[in-house]
Amino acid sequence: MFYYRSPGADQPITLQRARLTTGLALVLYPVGALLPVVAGSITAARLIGLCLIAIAFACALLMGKTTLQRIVGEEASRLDEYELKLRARATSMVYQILSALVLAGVFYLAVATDAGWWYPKSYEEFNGLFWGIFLYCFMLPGFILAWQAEATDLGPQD
Amino acid sequence: MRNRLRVLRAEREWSQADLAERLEVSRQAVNAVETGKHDPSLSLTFKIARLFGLRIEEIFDDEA
Repeated sequence: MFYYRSPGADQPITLQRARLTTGLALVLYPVGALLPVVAGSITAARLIGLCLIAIAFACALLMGKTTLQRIVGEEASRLDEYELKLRARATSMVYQILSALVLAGVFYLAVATDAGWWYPKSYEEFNGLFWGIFLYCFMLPGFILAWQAEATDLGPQD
Repeated sequence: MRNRLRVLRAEREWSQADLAERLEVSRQAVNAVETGKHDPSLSLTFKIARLFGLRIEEIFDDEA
């Protein structure tokens, strides 16, 4: 797990904003990466794809300092028992989702080679795949937590 | 599990953040215990009881 620690970290975030930001990152990256593949490497499609990828990473940066990302990414020794419980619940779900994605990916590759569908071959395509997996590992726990948590888990409340 | 944490905290005019600082946990953890979303561990339960100077069963009620 990853967590960007700095003096201004652990910023409260509203549930709606957390859901929107993490969701945008997870949707925009694959759309941006696959756009040139679908559109046939047209320059405009590549540019739009790059913009979408940049927005996805900007969303990840925005989440980096938040309470939500601290819960899923911080060292376990720096979390209390309730935060650990929230993290365990989220990571358990993330494990299932990532397992399903890996299985689906392997199945697709097996079928794609026989059916003549697109699959990553060049360095550029594998690079895109690598950063996509990196982004998903970073953002998916936060996304799941944002949907499992309640407003009082992330922001100030008394 | 029901508890009297919110009442005890209010009697002392402590905010959730004040109590969290005294218990060395997050404000979210205090809120979760108060609202019954989270049953505290044995060590945290003892810590709470010691902080308020009460017995555990005077704060927590497991028959709810």
